[in-house]
Amino acid sequence: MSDATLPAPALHRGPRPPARSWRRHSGLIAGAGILAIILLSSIFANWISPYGPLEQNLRNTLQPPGWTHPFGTDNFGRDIFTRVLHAAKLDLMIGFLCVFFPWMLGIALGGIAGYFGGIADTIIMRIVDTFSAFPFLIMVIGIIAILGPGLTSLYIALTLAGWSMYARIVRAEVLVVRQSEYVLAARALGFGHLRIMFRHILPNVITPTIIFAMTDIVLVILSTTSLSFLGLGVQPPAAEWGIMISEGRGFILTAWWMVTLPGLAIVLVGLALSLFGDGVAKWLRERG
Amino acid sequence: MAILDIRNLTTRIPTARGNLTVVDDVSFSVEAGECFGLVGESGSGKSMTVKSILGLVPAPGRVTAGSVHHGGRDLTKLPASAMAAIRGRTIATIVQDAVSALNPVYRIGRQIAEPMLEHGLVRSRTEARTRAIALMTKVGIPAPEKRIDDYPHQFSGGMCQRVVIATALSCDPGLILADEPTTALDVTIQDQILKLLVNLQQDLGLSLLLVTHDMGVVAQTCQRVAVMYAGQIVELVRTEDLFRKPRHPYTAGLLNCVPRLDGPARRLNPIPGAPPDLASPPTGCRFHPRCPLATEACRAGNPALREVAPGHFSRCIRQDALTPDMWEAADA
Amino acid sequence: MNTPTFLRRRLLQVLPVLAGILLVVFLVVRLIPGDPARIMLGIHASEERLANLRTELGLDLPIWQQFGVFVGNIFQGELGTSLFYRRDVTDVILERLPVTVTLVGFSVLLSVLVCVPLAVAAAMRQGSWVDQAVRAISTLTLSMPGFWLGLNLLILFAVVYPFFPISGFGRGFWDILWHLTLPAITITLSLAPILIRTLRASLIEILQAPHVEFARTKGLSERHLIQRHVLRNGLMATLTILGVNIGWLMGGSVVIETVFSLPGLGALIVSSIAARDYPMIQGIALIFGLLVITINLVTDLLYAALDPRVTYE
Repeated sequence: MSDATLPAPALHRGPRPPARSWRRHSGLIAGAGILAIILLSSIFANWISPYGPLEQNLRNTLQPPGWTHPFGTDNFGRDIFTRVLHAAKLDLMIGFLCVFFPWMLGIALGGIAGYFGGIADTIIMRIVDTFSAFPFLIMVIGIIAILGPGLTSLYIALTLAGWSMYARIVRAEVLVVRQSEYVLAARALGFGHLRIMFRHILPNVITPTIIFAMTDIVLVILSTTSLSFLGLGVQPPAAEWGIMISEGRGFILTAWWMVTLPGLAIVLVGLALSLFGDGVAKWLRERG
Repeated sequence: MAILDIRNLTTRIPTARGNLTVVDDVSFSVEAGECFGLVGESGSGKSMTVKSILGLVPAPGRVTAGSVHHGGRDLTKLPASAMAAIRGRTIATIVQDAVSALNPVYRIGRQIAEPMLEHGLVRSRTEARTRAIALMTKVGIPAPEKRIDDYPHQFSGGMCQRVVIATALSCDPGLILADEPTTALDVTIQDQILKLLVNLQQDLGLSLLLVTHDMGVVAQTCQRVAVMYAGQIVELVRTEDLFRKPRHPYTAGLLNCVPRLDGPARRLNPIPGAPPDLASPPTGCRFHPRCPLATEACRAGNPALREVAPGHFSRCIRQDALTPDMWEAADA
Repeated sequence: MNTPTFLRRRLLQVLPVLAGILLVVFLVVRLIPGDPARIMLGIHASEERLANLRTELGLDLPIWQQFGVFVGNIFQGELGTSLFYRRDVTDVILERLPVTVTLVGFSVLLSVLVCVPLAVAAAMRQGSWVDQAVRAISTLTLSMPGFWLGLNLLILFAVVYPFFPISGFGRGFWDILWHLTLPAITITLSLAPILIRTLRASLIEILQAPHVEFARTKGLSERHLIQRHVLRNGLMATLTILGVNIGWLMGGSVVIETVFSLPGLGALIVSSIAARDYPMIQGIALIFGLLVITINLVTDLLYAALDPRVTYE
């Protein structure tokens, strides 16, 4: 073979370099960034703000936003900005926990229903159907009606109203995964049920629940603030966004900042969580 | 006098992969009272040609060149309102999936009468109803006075197609575009509907442009036929001449594909290969990668549709080399 | 032709749901820790009244007979006496029911009038700035809590530009409408994201449906096409979405009535929970359940009226 027959190098365009990942995941990064700022500000609230959340100053009530009080003061002279920061801690924690508990409960029950089938499945799914028949907020209010208003009631009510959706999702996924080859192989090898559930099935069914949890957390935070606004959730004088807005209700004629500004915090957190949640969902879907 | 005269019609659809030329320099005409067949595989551009005639090419695609003459005007240059006045009125359409084409929430009488009322052919609902019943009788729907108030889900597939045909006839159009009217039907019903179409066409003196992938349908109904491949017309001739002596390898291949009950059992003979990607079609003759007669000249030049015999047009430059058994498999 | 069968079957389906609601409401009061009679009459009740109530409610009877007594009482319209108002629960509820019903009705009407055209515009001009603007605004309002939206509307349009009243229900048709405008706008803004998004997706699907394409070949004007073949089919989608979200709407009315001080059932249940007025809570829970059943039934019937395929089975 002589060199003369070697073909001339072809002019071809190589594979394109991967698009910059962070531009594709801009939503996730932006959302995470905003959340980080909010979270850090709330944790370091005492360093950021010279006032305490419950610190009253009756000579300084109902001040509009200004240099000394960026969000103004309320009817007790408390600095609203400080209270907003401290409320972030409380509301974000409730939001997280009241998604985490239903998530765990739902995965456990949904997993059992899907994996073992039979009578366990029937019983659990009947319960899920019953719980799902009631609209979310109505059920939460109903449970609080039984238990009486308060923070504990709020946790219990939100958990009981929220777990059924996770159970449904997990059960559906488990039913599919249960038939897959690696699970059948594991059972053929004689692995115990618990081991199969935790090491083989669980990692593969978790993704849809996380995607759902991201939208759920916004719903939970909105519900929490609504219930506290109504006086059915977190109780005053705690610093909580819903409570602050409720207290501001009596003063809309004179002090609009008591209502509008804490609400903006809710909207900001909601948007950030939506951005972050959508970004996580996209990332998880691309991972496959 | 041609009721439809198409010259150099070209339709392009921009996609992520590039511009798809789905209708490439298509020219043919349909005479008054004639049944003209447009035949080809899926993706050959026959449905897109119909859409281009009607001005219903889905965005972002559009007609980029050529003309469609009808009623003394070029349809490709008309504004939307003028086109709407023509659709359903002088040019009617019959679709493939008749069951889905009917709106499930309206009674069929109303749907049949809709074009007449829209184009102002009748002055009252009662008149429309009478005409609709007459049309239903003409297309062979039994007990029309009772069934006119029924809903589409109460009709079978074949009956729905009759309703669609009745709708097409509602404004006495001169031309009907039928896009695979029998493909979705059972074989026995197919035959009934085809016979109905032919009878109607002859009784009413209509022109019919029949789009199909089935050579058998063409043989049964059309006087002339154009064969389409990859957006182009590759052969255009009278039907009997097409079957007697095809002058394009693709046509010969299509004819050879049809399974036959007469004669000895033999293997099915599909044309090897697949239709080209319209975003980057082959250079020269679009069929050459699959053609046993292909030569260097086929790869290079851009063969045009030429009259290779009286009234017989073909794009193939090697059509005189066609033999009746060119597509026979080696082990017949 | 098969409408009577459909009607009969649908009405029969109501019964088990009704039974379920009665059962749940019945159990709820029994779940509260403590003596049910004392819960119903309050801590200051005399022994005599407690004993009377115990016999009346049949608290010494086995539980299923208690349930019978409970249901019997309900059918007589006997829902107990409010601890807070010291009046018959039935009377208070009947006074406040019209307010809630009017609010929800007006809000649904407004939502449909606003959201349907927006969804149509977004679906018809998919990808255009109209579409993107509509979707962006609805994503924005999705994160806004209803009570905050309502209060801000009050601040803007009842305080800063005092055009609307701050609270109350009003008297007389136009006065009531004027009072309900801001509340209805609030509910619409909260409902809009879901409604517009789902409706838009439905309409986009309908626009590509074969029957729309066929209708085009009939030469219909764009206006007639939309009116007759897109909207009518889209209406069914709207109905379904509204039906699904009706529970959410009722939850929302609770908050909105509180914000705008409307004397409806939603505000009532909040104050009753705070006041531990159990007879009232029970009564309202029952009425809410009945309302949801009724609205679901009406939605199904409307849907059947619009889509002839439903009754044909």
